[in-house]
Amino acid sequence: MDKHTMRALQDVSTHKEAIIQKVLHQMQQESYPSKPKWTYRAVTIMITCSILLFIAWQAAQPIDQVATEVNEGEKLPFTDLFQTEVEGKNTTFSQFFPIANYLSQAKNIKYYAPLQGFEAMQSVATSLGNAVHLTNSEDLPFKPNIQEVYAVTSKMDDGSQQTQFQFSFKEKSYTGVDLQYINFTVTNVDRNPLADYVKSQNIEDTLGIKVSNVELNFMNPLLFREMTPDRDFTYIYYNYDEAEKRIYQMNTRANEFYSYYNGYVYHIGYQLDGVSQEVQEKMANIVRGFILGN
Amino acid sequence: MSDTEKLEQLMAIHTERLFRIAYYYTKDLQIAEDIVQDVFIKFYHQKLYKERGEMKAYLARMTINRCKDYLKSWAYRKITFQDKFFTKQKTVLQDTLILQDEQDLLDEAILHLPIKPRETIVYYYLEEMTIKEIAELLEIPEGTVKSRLRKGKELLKVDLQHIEWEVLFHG
Repeated sequence: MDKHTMRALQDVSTHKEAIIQKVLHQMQQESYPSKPKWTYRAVTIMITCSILLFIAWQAAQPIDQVATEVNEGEKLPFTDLFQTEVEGKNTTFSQFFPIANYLSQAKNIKYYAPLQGFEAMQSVATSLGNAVHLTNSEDLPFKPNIQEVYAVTSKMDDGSQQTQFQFSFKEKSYTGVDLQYINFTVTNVDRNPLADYVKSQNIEDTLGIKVSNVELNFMNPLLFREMTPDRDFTYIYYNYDEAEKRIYQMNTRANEFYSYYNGYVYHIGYQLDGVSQEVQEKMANIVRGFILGN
Repeated sequence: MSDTEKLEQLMAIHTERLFRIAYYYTKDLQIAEDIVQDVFIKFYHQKLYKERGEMKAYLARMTINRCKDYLKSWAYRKITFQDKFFTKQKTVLQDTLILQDEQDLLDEAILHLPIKPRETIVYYYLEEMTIKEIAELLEIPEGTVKSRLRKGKELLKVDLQHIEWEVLFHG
């Protein structure tokens, strides 16, 4: 007879991930020195200053060139931007909102190694025309140390081509854990999935999941689902395993925004420190800016 | 390798098992999550462990102790009191559940066992540990493990008269 596993314990991966993230986060917070010796402080300050001066000196010249390229708004084709195909499995989509059934039909999925840095993100944003308006990392509610963009293409049952872009801002620990992050996932679709949304209202009532409309503009909804301690309908986003050269999916809990605008589904997930109400309000504005560009 | 990296590796290896253990005692996924988190943080700060190849048992014992502390705590007693207070309402809700299969009944029956027979049952049948391993983990004689297993099986038989679970009845 097979080993019996309690139903509640059949898939504990979400809990495992949550425990690891919380412990590492706590370690990170505790690792700030409380009473370091003055010599260590002095050495640290000197090293930091040297690094900053070096970065400033290095960055001084290329800035003009980069700014010119971006200002020119040259649209590069997809194949010029994403050149390295890597391994991967399945696509990400909101499990809660009603597009899940449609996106789960994706076939012939291709994954590309993420492009690093804000300039690369800007190039991809430019290639998407008016669909994406990136926020400078200085305007985000945290300081990311990773800025990257993912691309996953697939074919749908109806023969249409679909491309998902995930613009990620992350504060990653040196052990590779995403301590804080915001992921903006943009997917082209041929219909507005929110048109079916009213029908799933019962799910919210049954599961006690609260979804509010914080409005993208006076015509279009921007739905917000606050992170809950339950593991129902986890938030999924792409992550990259550099060593294995593969894209894998992170299953976690997060605050989520969801909207449809001009042929694109926008799914934004974030986990940030701070008072949730303040962060949520700031994030709603950032999301509106990302979609509408104002 | 830094201490944090070591801890991260340990967590990758042991978290799932410790989480299951914590759940067997607390019957609550969220509390089990908190307990395992506390265990790793305490382990990291204590730095008492000397590697002798017993890490698995050491962490399991820490988790069990933390769970037992929780079960003695005021917070747990309050929850138990509330559960008793709202028993009627809970029964009505349970009656409305039409689709409750054998697995759910079995899980529920195991979790309803008193703590001593429950822990031996879950370690023996669900975690597939030997009598000797259970005795070492719980720091009790092997004879006591056997008698607790016997008692657990008898209690389960009473609870699960209407379904058959071959391992328990013939094991």
